[in-house]
Amino acid sequence: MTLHTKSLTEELADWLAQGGRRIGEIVILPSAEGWEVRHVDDAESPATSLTAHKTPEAAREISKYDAAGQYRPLKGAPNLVHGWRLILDTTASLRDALDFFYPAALGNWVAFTQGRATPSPIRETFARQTGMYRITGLLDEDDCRAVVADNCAYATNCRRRIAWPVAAGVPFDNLPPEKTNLEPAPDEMPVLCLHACSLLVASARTYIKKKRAAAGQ
Amino acid sequence: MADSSVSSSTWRDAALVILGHGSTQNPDSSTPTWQHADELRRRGLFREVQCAFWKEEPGFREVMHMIDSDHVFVVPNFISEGYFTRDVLPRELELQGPVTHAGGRTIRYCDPVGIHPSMTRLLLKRAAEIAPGVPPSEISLVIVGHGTSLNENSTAAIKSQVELIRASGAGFGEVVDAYMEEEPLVARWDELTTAPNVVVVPFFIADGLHSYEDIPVLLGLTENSPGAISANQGEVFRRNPYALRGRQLFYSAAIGTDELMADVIMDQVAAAPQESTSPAA
Ligand code: SF4
Repeated sequence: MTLHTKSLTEELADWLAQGGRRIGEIVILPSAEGWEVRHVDDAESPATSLTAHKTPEAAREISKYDAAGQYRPLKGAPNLVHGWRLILDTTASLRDALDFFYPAALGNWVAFTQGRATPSPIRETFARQTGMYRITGLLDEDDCRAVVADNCAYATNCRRRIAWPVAAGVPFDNLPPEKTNLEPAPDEMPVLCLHACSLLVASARTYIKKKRAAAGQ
Repeated sequence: MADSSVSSSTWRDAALVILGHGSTQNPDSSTPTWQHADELRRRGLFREVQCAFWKEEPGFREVMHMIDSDHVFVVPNFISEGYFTRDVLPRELELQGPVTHAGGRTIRYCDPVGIHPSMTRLLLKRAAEIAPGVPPSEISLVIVGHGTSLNENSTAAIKSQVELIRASGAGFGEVVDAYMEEEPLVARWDELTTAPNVVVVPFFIADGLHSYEDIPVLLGLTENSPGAISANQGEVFRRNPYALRGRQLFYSAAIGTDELMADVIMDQVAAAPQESTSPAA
């Protein structure tokens, strides 16, 4: 039994053929060599004003630090550096580069749209933590709303769009629409968050510890 | 070692997934894991090679969405068995045991790199490289771990390496284990060793605060000035040898940064768990 009918590279090729061009802060432009990836703000810049790169692995280095030289552990952070272009000759190498810019974005989106992904409600993610993060199981629904609104803020912190509710049957009602809109513009592949990242789990721990300390617990 | 039913012909249709800890603070934490993945990708042994991390992206819960293969070998790039390899990784990957059948896929969960006997080869190579021209008989080799607090059995992994190196015939004057936070303490390295030359190798997966700063301070290579060394990162490994406490000390980068770790990952793949039952249809 095979899991997929098409490989992820073929899925990407289909998306591109249907006019797909944007993911997070990057834009994918057809070029004489194959594909050219840029920061979306650099889409119209003269090629000569941008530093050219030619390997998928360059994407890993481009996305590692922000313009101020700060490490970017969260690739969804809206602070991808400008001033580069990445020239790739095959869709397979474009796929590899995308997985460095936005890890798992392609696979998550394909699995999600094909009904093969099961996003974890945030309270379930917190409830299964062990060790120093076990305490996050104590966040109630309102705590979850508050910590997600703060930690995952679309405008400033993370461009992933959350596919999970607070709890089964309890959607978020306090987030800006783009944070939960999983079908943005037709030419854009949403960067989905199917399961909370470790930064959110760590924020939840800090949040609940402060709350309990304030309550004298 | 390698067995017949998990052969290299299986690998070519399979995915290799290397799992690391990663860090939201230290940009060097995931570097060795990526480098080993790049190397194994270059060798073309697998249909695809991916990495996933606890503290970085892609996360453990999404990496299976990134691969096309129906057969997956998962190798934890961890230094020992413990909380992560026994609790966190199986939970996050939703494993059912050493071999998991799920969603039409067969996932083989291998042992962490650090407990494979072939780590011995790396430690011997590292010692020879770092103190070139010094006869092994005049070297005390010190393998350093964290010890205590962390719920990891790195102490057991290190003790077993010490035994293996002693038995290897490599001819070191002596081989000892030492720890940052438990006895025998690495801070007493000069009391633990007798040879004129001392080679210190941190038994960690990646360089970071421990190898850049904490251990050098404990060894007495540097003053305790937080940030001073991490600002220069690898500089502390480039000033060998250090003349200290009447000895010549050679200080190595974390063992996990060695390029031969890619071979240890392959050794763990070759030792992958067997099917205990026939695959589900
Ligand atoms: S939990 Fe998801 S949406 Fe929130 S910061 Fe992490 S990756 Fe972004």
